[in-house]
Amino acid sequence: MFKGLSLDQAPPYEAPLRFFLTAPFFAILGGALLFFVGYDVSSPQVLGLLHLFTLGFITLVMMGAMQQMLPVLVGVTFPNALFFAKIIHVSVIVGTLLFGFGLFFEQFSFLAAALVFLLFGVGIFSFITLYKLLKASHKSATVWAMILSVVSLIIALFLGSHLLASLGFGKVGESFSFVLPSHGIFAFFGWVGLLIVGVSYQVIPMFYVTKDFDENIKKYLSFFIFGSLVLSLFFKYAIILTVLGYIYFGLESLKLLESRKRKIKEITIDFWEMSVYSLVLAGALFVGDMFIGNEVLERIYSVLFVYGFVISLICGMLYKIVPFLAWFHISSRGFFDMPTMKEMIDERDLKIQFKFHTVSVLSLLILPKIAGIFIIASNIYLFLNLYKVLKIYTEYKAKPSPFDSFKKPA
Amino acid sequence: MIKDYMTHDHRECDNLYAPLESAISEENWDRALELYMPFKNAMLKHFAMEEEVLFPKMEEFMGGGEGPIHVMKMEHNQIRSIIDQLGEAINEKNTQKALGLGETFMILTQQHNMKEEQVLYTMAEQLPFDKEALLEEMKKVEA
Repeated sequence: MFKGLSLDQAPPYEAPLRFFLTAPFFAILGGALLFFVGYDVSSPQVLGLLHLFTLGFITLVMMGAMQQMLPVLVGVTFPNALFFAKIIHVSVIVGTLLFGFGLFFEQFSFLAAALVFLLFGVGIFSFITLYKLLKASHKSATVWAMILSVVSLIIALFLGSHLLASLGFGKVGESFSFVLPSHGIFAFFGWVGLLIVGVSYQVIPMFYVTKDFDENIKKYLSFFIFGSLVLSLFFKYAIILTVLGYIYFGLESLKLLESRKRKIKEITIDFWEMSVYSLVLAGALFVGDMFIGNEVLERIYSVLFVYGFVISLICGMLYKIVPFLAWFHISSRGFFDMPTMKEMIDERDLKIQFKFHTVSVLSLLILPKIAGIFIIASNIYLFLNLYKVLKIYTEYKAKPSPFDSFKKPA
Repeated sequence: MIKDYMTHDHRECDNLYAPLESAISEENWDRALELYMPFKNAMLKHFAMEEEVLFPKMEEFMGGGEGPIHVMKMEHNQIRSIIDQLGEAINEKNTQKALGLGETFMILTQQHNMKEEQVLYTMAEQLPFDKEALLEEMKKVEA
């Protein structure tokens, strides 16, 4: 009757972790290019740089997180979880590097190869994930948001492939300037945004003990966002509805977080607040810019959306997920003496990283070149913080499980 | 029915934990001790409702073994152990240890609850037995 349902904490730790731990390197690379090389605003270099963050950091983490969440939320696992993780991970990394360097250093011949790797990696991930989500017997609001998010990823992937192929083969035609914004909005407001919305429905009430999101929000918001995205393909101002949807979501999240019952002020709350403030501010500027069309405004809201809203939130969540999973996998092998989540990463190190991160966002708004330094520092810190957890996990993994001593014949 | 009741019970347990954590962070140890027992009892009662009544009933239809119910029971044991360690940390007035255990308890419990609410209780609702009668039986369980 319930064949194939698994409540196990699959996949193995190594599957999502490889995504989480490689993500900071793309941001470090992006920061280094910003600082040491700089870029020409009107050239495709900006696109190359942007994708080091959106594909290399954001999408990698989100792919890893989804593999972790699907068994918990939907009760289904990926086939051969570790193998699946490895091939997607490698192809997205190689694809993103070829893409980033190809555009940044104008080596357009790299782009065809980038296209192959990205189509393969993102394609396999999105179709299998979508199939698994559609198979879920009970579709909660979170599952629906995830479905719409992955559908958006598929749309963004195909539009993006067209763009990449045009650049790669030097045939940038009229369609380019129409497809480019459509790709951007499906990638960002669809794939990234809807996944955050769906996961927030679960994570905010649970981690911080708040009330649930309003039933109507859970029922309609993700459809409203996705619907207005599709509408914006035909009528450009419909995107305002999408962004208003996100502003509303941001304000509701803030309200819940402020009325949380867990009064403890910990660093992940700071990351959440920073994320939500950035979202609301970016949304307001975006709507204003639709009528004004000002380049400075565009840069500000882009930074706030991508770095302020999404990357802040991801940092905060990584600090919960990575130590927890380490603890869980160690504990599942029968150990009792491992450090607690809070002991795995020193609170002071988290605060230092938060400061570097905040300065990164602020300086990106004013002086992108200088921001490069802070992005590098912040992401080295992020990596080191997460790496400490990995070290604890590997130490315990090398020890024989206490369970084994029970199994040995007397 | 079972799903609604048990989901609500999860939230009640969270609501008992939140003020306990605040008391620990303020190092108000008398208050923490006072809040610890009702919280622990509510958790144990919830586990007992599942392990003594709900799970055995579900196993009649689904079989036991290494399936989802087995995984849920293992996680209950992990949570019980961490609740005990939390009690010791409160007795020792060790703030950092208690907060660390609390955070671990919280996430462990939340992901466990998520699996029960999204998957296990939904299964229970679909199995052919009298849910109303079973729920009454569950409510009578003592921790």
